[in-house]
Amino acid sequence: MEWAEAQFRTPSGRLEFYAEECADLGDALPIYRERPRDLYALAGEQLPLSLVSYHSKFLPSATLNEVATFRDLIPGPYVTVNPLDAESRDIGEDDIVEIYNGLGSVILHARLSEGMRPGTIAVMQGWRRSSFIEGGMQELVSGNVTNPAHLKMKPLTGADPNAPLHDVWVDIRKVNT
Amino acid sequence: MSALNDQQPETGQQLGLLIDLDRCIGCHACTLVCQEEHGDPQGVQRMKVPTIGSGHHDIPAGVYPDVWMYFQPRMCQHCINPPCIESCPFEAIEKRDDGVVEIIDEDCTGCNLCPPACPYGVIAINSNDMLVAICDMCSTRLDEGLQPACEDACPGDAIFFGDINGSDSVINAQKRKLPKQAYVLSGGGNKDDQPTSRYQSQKAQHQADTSILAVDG
Repeated sequence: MEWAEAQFRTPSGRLEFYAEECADLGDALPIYRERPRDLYALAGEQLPLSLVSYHSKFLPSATLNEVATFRDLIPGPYVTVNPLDAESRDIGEDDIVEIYNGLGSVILHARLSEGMRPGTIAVMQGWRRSSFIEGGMQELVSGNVTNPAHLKMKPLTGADPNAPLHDVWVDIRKVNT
Repeated sequence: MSALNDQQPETGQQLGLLIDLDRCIGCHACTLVCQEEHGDPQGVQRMKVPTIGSGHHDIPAGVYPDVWMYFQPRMCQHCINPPCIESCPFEAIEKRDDGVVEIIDEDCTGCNLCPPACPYGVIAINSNDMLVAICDMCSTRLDEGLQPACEDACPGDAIFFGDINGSDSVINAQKRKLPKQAYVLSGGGNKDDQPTSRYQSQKAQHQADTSILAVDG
């Protein structure tokens, strides 16, 4: 049987939801930490909007992105913005916008929805760089690991922490064409 | 106004689809299997699955956090009095004895008079031959004793097929099983078409968009 002898490289050798080693960080069980805004700041300025990417029914990551029959069914890419966030930036339905932070930017169309949480913008995941008018989603994401619990556990377990894909701070502006 | 469940069965066969909107997950399996079954080129959708809500694909209506949306498979409604048949100068659309409306490809000239005549917006144009294409309830499969391909493919078991006039049909059994209101698509006020596809939903009951769904009966 595969993996029969395999063990998690945790101190207990088991899957640890509770990690005693992180107790001094207040993090023996998972906790919420404010996301580090400085990592994404632009010219020293912290950015106001939280960027998340969500799963689609049609695109498990970018795997099926170039299947023509699926592409037929999926409009986009676009960023969904609450009208409260859009109005103050003079962004209208289907405008071309740039999502940017200190790390990079991506240019795509905007879609307004009151169903979007104000202060958060969202782009469906699974697009490729070539899908966008310019730039790419990955430009906006930092590879730096800032979670102290991750940093503490890495030498113990050898496990690489996840990239903080949803810990992204950005702003958005209209691109005049 | 009375629910469909209270209506007396009419005489004559009328094959149709009943779609339980509460079971539809918007996966478009029906759209794709329909394309495949008919050998349609990419982009031709005899079966569409619009998001009801904001009107945009997968984007809800409402104000955060109170949002809602659902999916509503749309295809030829196989009307009792199909306005498309009247619109066709070439007699290229016929209503079969079993109630199914179909295009006779040999007679269709691609004149495009029928798509605007359809109140439900479900007549597609085949980009290969420029002829019109509609849900024909998979008439070639029916003639072989099979079910429509979408009914077969739906992973949510949201599509039911049968004789809407037959008291013993799958459709009427399903309607009896679910204490839900049955709806027909609202075709912009023209009651004479009498669309035959039925929709059932609890959600639509709560969030009825009267421009889209009309209580049947």
